[in-house]
Amino acid sequence: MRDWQAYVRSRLSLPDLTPEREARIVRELAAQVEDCYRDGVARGLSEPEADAFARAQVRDWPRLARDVQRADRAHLQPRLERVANRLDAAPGPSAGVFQMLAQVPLTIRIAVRSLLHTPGFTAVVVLTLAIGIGATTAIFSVVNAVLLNPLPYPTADRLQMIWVTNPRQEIDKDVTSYPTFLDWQRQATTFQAMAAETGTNFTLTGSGEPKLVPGAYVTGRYFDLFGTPALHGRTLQESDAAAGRDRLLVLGYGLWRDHFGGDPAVIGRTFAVNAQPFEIVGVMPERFSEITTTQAWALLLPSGPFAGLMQSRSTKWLEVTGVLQDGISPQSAHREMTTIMARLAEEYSGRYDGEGILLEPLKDTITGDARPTLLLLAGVVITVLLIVCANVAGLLVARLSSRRHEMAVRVAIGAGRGHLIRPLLIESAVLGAAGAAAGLALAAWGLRALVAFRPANLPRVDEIQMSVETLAFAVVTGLIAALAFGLLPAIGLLRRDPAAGLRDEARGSIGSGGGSVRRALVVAEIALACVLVTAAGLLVRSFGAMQSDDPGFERERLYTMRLTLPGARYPEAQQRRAFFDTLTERIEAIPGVERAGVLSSLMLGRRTNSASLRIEGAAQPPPGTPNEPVTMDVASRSAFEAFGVPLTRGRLFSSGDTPESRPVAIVNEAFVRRFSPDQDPIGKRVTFDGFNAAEPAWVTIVGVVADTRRSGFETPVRDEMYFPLSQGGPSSMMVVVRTHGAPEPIVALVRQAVSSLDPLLAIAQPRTIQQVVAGGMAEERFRMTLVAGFAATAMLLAALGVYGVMAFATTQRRREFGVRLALGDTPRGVLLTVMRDGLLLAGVGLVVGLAAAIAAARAMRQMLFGISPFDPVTFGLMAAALLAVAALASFMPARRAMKVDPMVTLSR
Amino acid sequence: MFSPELKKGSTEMLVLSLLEARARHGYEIGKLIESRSQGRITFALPTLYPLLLKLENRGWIKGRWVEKPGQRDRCFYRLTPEGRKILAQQRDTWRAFVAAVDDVLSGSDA
Repeated sequence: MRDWQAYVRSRLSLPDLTPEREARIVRELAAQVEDCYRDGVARGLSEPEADAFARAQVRDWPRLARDVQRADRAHLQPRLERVANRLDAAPGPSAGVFQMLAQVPLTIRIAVRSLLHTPGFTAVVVLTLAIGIGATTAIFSVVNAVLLNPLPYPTADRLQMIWVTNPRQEIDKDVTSYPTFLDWQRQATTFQAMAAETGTNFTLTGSGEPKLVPGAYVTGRYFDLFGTPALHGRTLQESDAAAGRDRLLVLGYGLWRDHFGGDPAVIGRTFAVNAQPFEIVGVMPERFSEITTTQAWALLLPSGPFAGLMQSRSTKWLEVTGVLQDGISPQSAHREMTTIMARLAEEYSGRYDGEGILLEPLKDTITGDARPTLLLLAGVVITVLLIVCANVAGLLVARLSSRRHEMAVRVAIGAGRGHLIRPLLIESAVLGAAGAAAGLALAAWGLRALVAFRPANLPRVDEIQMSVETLAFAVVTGLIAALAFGLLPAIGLLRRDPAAGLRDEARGSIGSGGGSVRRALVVAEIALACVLVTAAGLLVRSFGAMQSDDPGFERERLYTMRLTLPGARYPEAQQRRAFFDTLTERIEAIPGVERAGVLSSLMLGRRTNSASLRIEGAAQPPPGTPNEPVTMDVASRSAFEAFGVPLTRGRLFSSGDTPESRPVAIVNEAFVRRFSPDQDPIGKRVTFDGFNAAEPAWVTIVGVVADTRRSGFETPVRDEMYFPLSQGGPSSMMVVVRTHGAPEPIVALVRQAVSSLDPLLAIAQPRTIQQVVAGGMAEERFRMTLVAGFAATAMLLAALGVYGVMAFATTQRRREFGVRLALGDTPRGVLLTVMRDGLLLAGVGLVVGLAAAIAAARAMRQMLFGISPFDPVTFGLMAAALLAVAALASFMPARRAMKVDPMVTLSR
Repeated sequence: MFSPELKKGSTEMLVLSLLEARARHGYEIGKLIESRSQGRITFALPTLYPLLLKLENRGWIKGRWVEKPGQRDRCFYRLTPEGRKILAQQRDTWRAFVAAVDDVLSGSDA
């Protein structure tokens, strides 16, 4: 006789009923069919005949299944389970990709519902992923726009800056002179075009208030470099230069839009630029202008204001950019330029000694300053993303282990491994997609915040946007993170014997919960957090050191602005001196003003006027000796008192220092330390004419002032020399006004003083000293704040990780704790056991992380001020903070462990 | 007046009435209907079994597995108190229906 139960089970499928009910129905139907068979045999049928008779009782099994399921409503499974079972009953992948694809929406719905069953878990995972993906996307959008995207010019990949180097003088990047540029342009064949430029400020008058505009004088082929046509009108051309047309101006988009109302009719009109009539010939498109701050271009011609400079082969002042010929590599261009320099060195003996060439892609020049900060941030967010992945993995492992029994049952009743893994994967994918979506929203918000909060020197800001690449990056990151970490625990699950899962459950144990995997993940999280917290700590300490550092000048009661006198109206040095002297007097007459003065520069940029000098009587240095240049400045008599820089030796400039008296200078302490460490510098004479000059022009040092940190906090104090305004007469000066109280109330009066002297003069950079200093530290503040924010996030995530593992481990060990308490251990003992475990995890993470943190600190050396990258305080605090967080995170589960009631635990 | 479920109800009534005296298993119920109607009424297994489940779901009958020594395990159905009430109602209804049909048929000339 056949096994009727097997017969019925193979034909009757009741996926909508509970398994128990299905089993009963199969059993009962089998019994009835068997009754029928036995009946047949009893009536004299042969066994095969009886068998056929019995089987003939039910011809349409699917219909019977349908009728049974319809009749047996009370035993239907919950709808969700029914759908899942139908999926399981469906043929596997071998039945065709289409079928599988057809099931995907359904599977996703199941996954979503299953996730909504555990809203806490889902929220934490999605939020964690969102933080990681959002931060990564935001930062990488910036990195992408600023560092990676090509410049928006057709010739972008062929544009090279051509710098002069002088290894002997430790100069790695210098500008060049006009005659040198002309020689390069004539001789170089590897460049399709070459152009030189020098930055300037144009004063626009005639429409509204006088406006100072950042601009540039450029040589004839400048616009040929970029291959970008003008938006309106035309660009400046070589033919203009050849014809000597020096009163043509091309406007940047921003200036045209803001100052000229975006009116295309400005083309061909004439405006007063530096008090001279200039014809506007063109407007550049928006994308061209957004790369630089330059908003107006005029031709650099011998008839213009630079006639004298353009004659000098020794004065370096021009930045040169070239566009390579198609197919020429930068290397071969570099070889050619080096040959040209060698030829020039031979031709003009002594003039080009030790000089070489550096070719730098224009993009690197533009983005150079922002690069370290952006790379730091990129590293930081990737670390955060790794922590996020570890955290999500930990959560998924924990979730899976709590479903181990369910999985074991499903395996036991015959579910295939594919059927087990597929829903897990889909769940992970759903989590990843939700995380990516939330992260993208976060990124959009974060990006706006980043751009609003950026330091002023971040280039290409207008190009920053959430790009398609970044979008793809976020989604792929989210999916990979979730899929990888959904698969990892699932594989672990499959390797285990399902029966073990059932046995564990029977014993009331929860299973290991992927314990070792989760511990490893937590150790990794702490190690990564360790790196971030160290980086943040170093930046915070460095920023603190900067703020408390004495810059050597007045930091509170100062108001400053830049005035540039147009050469057309102030052609003589005497006129310019007179203007600044009168202005100083008028400002000092304002009530509330303590002292006023003028200084050629306030804060020193990367490149400032500098020259190499020789001290009278000093021996000629052997060739090849590095000869650091000295920074040169012009100051009025009262400038040092106004700026708050004390005199340490000798005297300040006086009214006796006139163009007719002997040239004098004041130096700073750093200068004395280098050039005259053992002798009194007062009365010493220096010259800039080199050792070979027949009749050097000597300058006598009459005073020494204290050092100032004018060149920024991260660079050492430079050697400085100040020349008196009364013996010179530069056209562009910073006005420095020291007030009795807060500077803000007198601002309007100072402006009045300026316009009473010259109503056509534009005031540039009007700022209080706090604004100036804050501007100088904006980049430090920016990266400190961001890194600190990410470090705090990392610490929070690591704490969550520790808490998760400890809470789980504690629940798992309830029985053990119960036994221990029953056997006389104190609650305190239990508490300490748990805490020790948590701290051990943190300790291991700390040791691993320390090595990485040291490497990271070493890489950050350039960004630190006033502290060592291995600052013991930072490292100590970092370790203490992480241990404290880990202790706190394990204390909560530990306290629960301590309160275990042995009676309750053991009786379960 | 008489619901269109009447005919269906009659099948239910047959099963319920067979269980009135004592508990029976599924195959036995089918056989009894067949033998008592002298083969005029038969219910194939695919019809009868879902019906049993339906009645059980309504709480009118209750199945229980019984192990008897020397016999195979069988699921025996018995009438629940509610099933008993329903059977009484259905009998009344059935008789009223039959009487009404009789009246209609016999008074066809009146």
